[in-house]
Amino acid sequence: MKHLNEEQLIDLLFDSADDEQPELRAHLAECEPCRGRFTLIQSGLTFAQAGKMEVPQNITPIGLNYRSMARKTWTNRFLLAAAAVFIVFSILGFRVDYNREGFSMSFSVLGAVPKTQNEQVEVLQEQLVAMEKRLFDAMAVQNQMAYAQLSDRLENYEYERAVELSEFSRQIESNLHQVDRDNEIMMASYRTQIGKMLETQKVKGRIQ
Amino acid sequence: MNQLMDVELVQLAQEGKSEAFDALVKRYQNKVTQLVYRYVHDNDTALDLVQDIFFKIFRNLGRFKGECAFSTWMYRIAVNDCIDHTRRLKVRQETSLDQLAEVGFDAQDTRKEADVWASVQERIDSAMVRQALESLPNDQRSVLVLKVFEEMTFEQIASILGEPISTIKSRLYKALELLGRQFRQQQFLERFKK
Repeated sequence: MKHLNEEQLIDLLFDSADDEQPELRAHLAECEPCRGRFTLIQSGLTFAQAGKMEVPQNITPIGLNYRSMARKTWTNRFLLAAAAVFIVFSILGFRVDYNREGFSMSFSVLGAVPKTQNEQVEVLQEQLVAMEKRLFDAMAVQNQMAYAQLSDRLENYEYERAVELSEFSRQIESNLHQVDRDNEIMMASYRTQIGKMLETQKVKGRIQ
Repeated sequence: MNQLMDVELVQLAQEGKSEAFDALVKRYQNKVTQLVYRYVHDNDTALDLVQDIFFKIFRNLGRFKGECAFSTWMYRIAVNDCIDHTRRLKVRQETSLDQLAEVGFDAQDTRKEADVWASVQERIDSAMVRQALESLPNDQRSVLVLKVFEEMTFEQIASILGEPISTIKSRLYKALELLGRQFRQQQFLERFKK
């Protein structure tokens, strides 16, 4: 028989496998690894049961009835509706101000709240600062781009020079080889001519 | 009203009969409170959660079509609420000073010193077990609470949690295995201390 699986071990622990119970118990008695796993979960159960505390007597929920629940529902609905109205009014642009002249209330659609002269100046100044910042940022970006382009061009120039130099070296090398080969051919030709001249002189008896 | 079955009470409550809903609350409030208390181990939290659970039941009762027993549906709401609560508080609970406060005692009271220390030791042991239980993943903890503390059948638990019985048993095995290991570690440490 195979080792008991988790489900079978749990069935044994809680006596919930009626049909297979004797067979499983017999296996458990013989199989040490299964017994080890069973003892482990048995210890776990003992440990868990130690944490089973009695529910204190004084813990009794109060106000659990239809009326309080209905009231709570209506309260929740009212709060929800109030929150929704507040959000809608805020979006629409209701605004209440207070100054020396007293309270004032303004309204504009979709939150475009009209501003006082001072506020408009402040807004313009903020926009100016923001524009200046954007200008400096743009200049910085342009500088970076110019530097990057210059670097690229220098790199390309260096690369082209290196390629040309390499080609020039290769050509010189090739020419030198050609000169060597020509010299060898000429030397061979001279040797042959000198040999022939020597033979002629010998025939004429001018030399021995 | 109290003699009526759950199905009948639910139907009446759905029709707006306040007495029917009150009868259902009366029938189940202790059981739900017990379950929640064993889940969260704290009076105030348990009471808050029970309020919340019954409010959810009240709000959703109209949508209950009777696909399962009312008690199953109600326990499902309760367990889910407990799980949500533990999720929300998990970070706080890990470093909670409440656990330290839990094992404290009144230093001014020296009348029964020996009893005080025994009580403290008992509280520490209990706190250790609770800490071990709280360290379990929520799905394993729910199964453990329903099976070991509430003594429900595997069929009931499967129905409440909406999982197959084999999954429930597997989760319980894993939970008990984890607790078994912690238990042995604790025993080993106690032996070492002696």
